[in-house]
Amino acid sequence: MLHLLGVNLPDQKLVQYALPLFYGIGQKTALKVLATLSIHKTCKIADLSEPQVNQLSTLLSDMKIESDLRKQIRANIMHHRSIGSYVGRRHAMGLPVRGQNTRNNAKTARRLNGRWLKAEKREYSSSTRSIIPSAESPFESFFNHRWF
Amino acid sequence: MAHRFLASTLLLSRTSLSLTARARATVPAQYANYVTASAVVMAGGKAKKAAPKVKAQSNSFRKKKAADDDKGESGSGGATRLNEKYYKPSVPVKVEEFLPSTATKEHVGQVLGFPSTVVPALAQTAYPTLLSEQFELIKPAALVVRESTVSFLEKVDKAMKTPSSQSRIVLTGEAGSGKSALLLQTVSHCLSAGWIVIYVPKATTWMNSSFAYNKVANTTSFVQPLLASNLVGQIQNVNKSVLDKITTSETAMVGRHEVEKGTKLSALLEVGVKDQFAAQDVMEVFMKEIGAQKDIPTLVAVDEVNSFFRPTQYLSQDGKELDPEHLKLSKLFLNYISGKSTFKHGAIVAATSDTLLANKSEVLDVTLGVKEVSPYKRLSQTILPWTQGLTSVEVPNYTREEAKGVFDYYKKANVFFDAASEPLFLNKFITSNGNPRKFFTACAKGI
Repeated sequence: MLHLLGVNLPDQKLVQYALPLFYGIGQKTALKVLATLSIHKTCKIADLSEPQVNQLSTLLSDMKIESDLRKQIRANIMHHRSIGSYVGRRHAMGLPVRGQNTRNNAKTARRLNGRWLKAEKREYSSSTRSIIPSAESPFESFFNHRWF
Repeated sequence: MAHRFLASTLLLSRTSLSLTARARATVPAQYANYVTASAVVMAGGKAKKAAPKVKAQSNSFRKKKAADDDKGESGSGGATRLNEKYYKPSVPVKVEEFLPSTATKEHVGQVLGFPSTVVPALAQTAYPTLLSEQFELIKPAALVVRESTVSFLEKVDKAMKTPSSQSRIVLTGEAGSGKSALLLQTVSHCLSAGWIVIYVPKATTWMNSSFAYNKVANTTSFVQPLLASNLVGQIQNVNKSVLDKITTSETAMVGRHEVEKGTKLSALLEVGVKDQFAAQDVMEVFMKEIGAQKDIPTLVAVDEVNSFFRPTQYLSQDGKELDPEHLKLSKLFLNYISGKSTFKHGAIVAATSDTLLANKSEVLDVTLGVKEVSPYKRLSQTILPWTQGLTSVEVPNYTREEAKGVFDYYKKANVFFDAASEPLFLNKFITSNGNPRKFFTACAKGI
């Protein structure tokens, strides 16, 4: 099990199919990474040498993946929301953004749209909770209980 | 059915297993010689007066019949247990040895086995894929002497005293017509005659991205260290006795090692076996040395040579597919195949393979005259120059005499159990059109 940049890569997996486990890397980028590092397509994670692993981690840390990418996507959608655009409103309502029909068939949009904003809301709520006394203070049970 | 059954076991996997992995994957001793024919199944069924066949499971209530017991035995779980009612042991047939003295017109139609001196050498490099499956079923490994064998070996013998650039032959023919088999016979013949033989049974494994590759600094070339090391080891094991007679003519640097003048070639190859990163240099020095001497001729035998004339599955750092000339080991062989480098005495014999359609090389087929394309079609200009000057030898299907010899051999080896009669022979011969592979499946599977 190779642990790289916050993701566990199983040893017996081919490198070509293990790299898409990173958020932001798909099939094509994985092949580009293999080509850049001269790793053959049937190489497994366990076959990678130390210098190759180091090169891989350097290359991946230069790319925008995982949390950096998620932040960027969230920021893009928040921008629409903050300027009050149509796109922002549709994300907030969880409806199709790109002009699709909603009379029928908006299932994917209703399921997926707006999840970036909910994540943002959760972040805000966690920051307000920080002014409430923490577990160490003596009045923690009084202040953290919902009396009304 | 054993043909398909055994093909699913580790021993006959069509992926490129290393030789050590194949050696480890042994079949249990009592099943080592098993073969079956659907004729046995049919005969067994008739003899028992059919216990009723088990139908596909249905939801409706059905009384299970007692006679189903003998059918349901092995099923899917019995991967290591072969049902003795359906699998009968094959009979090893006593065959004469295929030697330069026996590869003559008088022996056309006879099935001759590989000599005992040659078999260990061939075991190093492994047989071509589909032929190895046949050899697993019928022991010992033996091939029929054909008219094309006799005429081709005469050609190779003439090439013994000429430079290899004058004898660059590619065996062509339809699928299953015996190209790999003829190449194997040539390899066996040359080994018996004391040539240095470099035999590559599966050139596809060089190009299909199954070995690690590293870029050579400041060039567009790539080395495959492990592949080169494996090849060096194979050459050393195949040509043990012969390589002690030749020594290097000058000091050379191979990787981090220095090889002095006068070192035996077997010691040179040992360096490449122990240090895979020196193996590429070892190969280059080795080929130069054996090419420079005239005492012992060299045979380079490459099967699946079409993979040398099409883009590989390796990628350059830009993400484009590499050509074989960008891989140093393949380029070394391409130099000899195309005549750019030459052995003073020797020959280059190659065989195309129709096993995988994706591996076919249009450039090679067009240059050899096997295929015609529109003159407006643009062929790869990087690969085309490497195909110049190759001669094509077509391997035909069996003649009746050859097929009869093979038929008798199959009967002795228990490949089929019906009485060997003329009508049965004609049936198999005509339905398969004399194609050797189809003839084998016709006899083995009763199709």
